[in-house]
Amino acid sequence: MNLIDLIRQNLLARKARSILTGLAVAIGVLTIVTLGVLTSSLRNTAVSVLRTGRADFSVAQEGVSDLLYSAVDTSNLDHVRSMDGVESAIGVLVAAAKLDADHPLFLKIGVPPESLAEFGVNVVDGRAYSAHATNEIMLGYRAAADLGIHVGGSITIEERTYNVVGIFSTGQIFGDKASMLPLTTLQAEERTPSNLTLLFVRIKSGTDVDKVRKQIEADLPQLATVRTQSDFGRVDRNLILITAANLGGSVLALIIGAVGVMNTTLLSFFERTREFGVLRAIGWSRMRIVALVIGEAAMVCLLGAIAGVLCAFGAVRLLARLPDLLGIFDPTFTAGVFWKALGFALLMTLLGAVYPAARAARREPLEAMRHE
Amino acid sequence: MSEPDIVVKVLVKDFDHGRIHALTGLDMEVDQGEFVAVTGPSGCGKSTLIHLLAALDEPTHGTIAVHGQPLPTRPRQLDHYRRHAVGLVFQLHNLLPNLSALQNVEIAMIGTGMARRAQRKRALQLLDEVELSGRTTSRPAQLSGGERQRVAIARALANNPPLLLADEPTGALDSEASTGVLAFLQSLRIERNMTILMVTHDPRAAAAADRTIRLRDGRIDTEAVEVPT
Repeated sequence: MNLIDLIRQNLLARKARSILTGLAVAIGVLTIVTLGVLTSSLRNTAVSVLRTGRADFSVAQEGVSDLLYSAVDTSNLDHVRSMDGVESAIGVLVAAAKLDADHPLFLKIGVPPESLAEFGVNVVDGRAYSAHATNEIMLGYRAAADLGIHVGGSITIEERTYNVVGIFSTGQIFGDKASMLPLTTLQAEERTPSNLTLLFVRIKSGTDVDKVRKQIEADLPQLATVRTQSDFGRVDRNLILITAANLGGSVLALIIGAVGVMNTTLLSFFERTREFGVLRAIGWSRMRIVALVIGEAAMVCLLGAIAGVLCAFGAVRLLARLPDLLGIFDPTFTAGVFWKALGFALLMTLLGAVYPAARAARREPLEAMRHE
Repeated sequence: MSEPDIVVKVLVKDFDHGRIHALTGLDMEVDQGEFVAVTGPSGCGKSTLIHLLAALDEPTHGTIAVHGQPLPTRPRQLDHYRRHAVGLVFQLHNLLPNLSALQNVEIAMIGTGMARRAQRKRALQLLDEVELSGRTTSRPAQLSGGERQRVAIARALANNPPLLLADEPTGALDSEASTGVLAFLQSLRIERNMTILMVTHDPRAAAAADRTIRLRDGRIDTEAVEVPT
């Protein structure tokens, strides 16, 4: 018998308590992993949108609560295009529409047909729409498959009916679940003839990207350039709020989990004080007692973490089916998620078990053996 | 003549900030391979003596030498002493309730560096010696009082200590079980030449020892040598 065998034996001897503690840890891990995957996936989606068409960076109105509310005047596009170091820039208008209960957030992206290739759009079936057509639309291949619509069919969006003339692919979920139509048509529909939502900018080879970004922000202070995930909060406060909520939720889950572990471990310590005294009396060192107590907590936390990660898989899949997240949430599980869960479990073990372990080890054997 | 295995000089142990005097200047010697019973009325300091010899407590004054060495004071040396130099048997066996008889013996060998297979072999051998080879998987609750005490003795012997300290080992047993436990202690003295110090209230148990030391008010009252029958 070694220490691991004894730890396993002790946990099995108190099955109900071990399971309940593991459950508390699992719920904590589930919360943290799910929030983490949700936040990072949303951020990835957001960033992939902003890097569409292999743009070096994108430009949007600074400080808006949601990227969809960004308003960039078309004159700004002309200014950016004229700047030194800029190879090309395109402007798009993005509008959200409700198709039905299953598709409450269906995106319409207005792009001039001549900019489609530059925007990273590959027409995989049919053709691109005409520059000023008011009833022509293309669907992303995911949207087309989801809606069961083919080239030659039609789609009605908020009482407007369009002929589907093409199916496209952009290589990222956000675009492939959306629709595209002529920029001027969408501007007219939205009654914002001179507005754009985003500019996508490509820089000439050998040019310092950051220098161009700084120049744009200096010339057009109402705009912000976005290149990385961390920049995204400048043009969409929602992600900052979601990230903050994620952090808050994670800290709360950690505290709840650690309190659960500490409660169980302390209870176990009081119940087993005599046992620890006997072990000390037969020659167990204080460190071995600490290892026993922490080992039991760590094993419960580890098993709880595994259960929590497995549950998080299910929870994330369910979340991805929520109508509000359809099209914008493409769950991405990374190795980091598992490391985070493991780190969380270890932290809970440390927070919850170190104090009871220290108390158990500090007791003198005789005093512990007299404990009733 | 060889040096005594246990040498106790002017041993004093006070409790409650000096208000209670458990031992009041005890002098005692026990030879290697001797089986000594310590008797006396309740509160005379019998268990305190065992606890001090087991290094579970520290004396207020006086010295104790076991196997020719003073008792250690540093934590690591104390752990080593408790694990390898003495075997402890309590009145209430103090077995871990969630472990089987076999595991209760093996637990004393955790951390000794002994391989698991060797631990198991040793534990099985000890349980066989205490005639419990058929009860290795039983938990303490499934064993009789005598069987539990025999498991506790096997645990005390796990690391092959030269000194066995037993605090009322038959105190909670019926006469048949007591006879079995005492017979085994005698066999340990004879076959392994172990030094055994046993605290007991029971004159019949004391009669099983080579010699009886009677304590009164924290020091030796009378000393008698009794030859086992």
